[in-house]
Amino acid sequence: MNTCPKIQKELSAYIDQELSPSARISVEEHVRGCGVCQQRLAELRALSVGVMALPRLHPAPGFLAAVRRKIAPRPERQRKAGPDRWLRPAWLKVPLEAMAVMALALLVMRLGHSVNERFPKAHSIVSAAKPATALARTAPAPINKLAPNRLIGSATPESPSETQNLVVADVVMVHAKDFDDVQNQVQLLAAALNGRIAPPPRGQALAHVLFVELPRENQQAFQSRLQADKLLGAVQSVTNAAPPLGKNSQPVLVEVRVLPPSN
Amino acid sequence: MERVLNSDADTRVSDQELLKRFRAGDELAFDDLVLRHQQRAFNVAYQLLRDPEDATEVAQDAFVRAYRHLDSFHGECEFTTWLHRIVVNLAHNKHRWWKRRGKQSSVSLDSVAENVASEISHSVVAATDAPDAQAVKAEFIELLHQKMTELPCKFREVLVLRNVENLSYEEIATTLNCSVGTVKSRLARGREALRKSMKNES
Repeated sequence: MNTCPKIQKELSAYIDQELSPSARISVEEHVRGCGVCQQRLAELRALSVGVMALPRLHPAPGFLAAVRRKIAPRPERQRKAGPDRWLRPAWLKVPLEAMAVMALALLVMRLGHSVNERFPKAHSIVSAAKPATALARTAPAPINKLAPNRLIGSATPESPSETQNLVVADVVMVHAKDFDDVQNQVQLLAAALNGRIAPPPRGQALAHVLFVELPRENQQAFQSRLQADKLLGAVQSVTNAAPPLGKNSQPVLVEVRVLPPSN
Repeated sequence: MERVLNSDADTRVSDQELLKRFRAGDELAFDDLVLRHQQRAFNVAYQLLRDPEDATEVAQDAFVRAYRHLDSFHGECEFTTWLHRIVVNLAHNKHRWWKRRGKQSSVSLDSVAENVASEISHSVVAATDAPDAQAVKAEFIELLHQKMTELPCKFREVLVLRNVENLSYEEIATTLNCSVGTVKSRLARGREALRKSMKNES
């Protein structure tokens, strides 16, 4: 009986020393007396040695840096790193402009699902946000303008007649001690807009972004009250996706929009 | 937390320890894992793809994927085995990607090489033994290099993991998510295909 085919199937594992002792003995006994299998075994061994000797290259310098660059866009891991990460002195020294840029980025992220929304009424936001007399006498809110009237995105219209391009008019950084303070700030902004900002051209919407820092313990109450407050109809959304600035404060992004005429 | 400055030099720190530190928020621990295993990841990718740029991309993407999916790695195998699996999968995807676009994943032998193939095949046995056969050995390696690229992926993978990375059958099985029997079979068939190819047999 010709046992060569069976043995030859085992030669690969024999080379790798992955055969059981009994199978190994069977192979050795056969190969000792079979020239063909001896030749086959030698060839396979040479191939294995050859594969081991294949040229190897080293990764180019900067490999780790490239990996880090590819990882960088993902923010989730940073949050997992723990809240202390945001409390480092370097972060606290970030200028307001940088935070405004962050607010812009967050706004852009929102475009996909917010710009397409049909707004309630033309001018409704500005007209609904008329300030109380007492507030009108108050000094304007500190405004840190960033790229005013810069087109930052467009959306697919819900209907052929509707084209909404969103323009960021202001990014405002305010610091508030409590909800009333925030409310004042929003009203002041709305008042300022009402007096000096013309309605946007047809097919555009203006976004005024408030970047509010307020005490953390008031955040939830602030959001619910702000969302429900009819006076603050200008507020389109409240987002708290921004990183905390300190142990006791939480920035909140408030998006205020001015809508074009409906006709 | 004390930083491991050079993981290659500091073999006392295990991969598991670095993973533990990383999960605790030490981003530098992941850098150490990259530094420690970049050569291995790149080399596996290069042996499978035979293109330094593709291999670099695949190896880097493997670490990115590892970074993002570390939560799904529960230490059921060595980190290197897990990393190998990612590299092999990504290399596989890259290979298919090129194939769909019509790029040859291997360098075909030209007529000259074909002519010398049979001649070299006679030296297969002697190539690794003859001390004065450096030139023949170099040609043998070059031919083997080319013939490897012509092998089906499933054969090339096991050959690289076994003979380049020196993994056991069990480790290869874990890496490729298949049985040890499959590894054994693929290695035998892969080597036989390579042997026939080297001997210019059909």
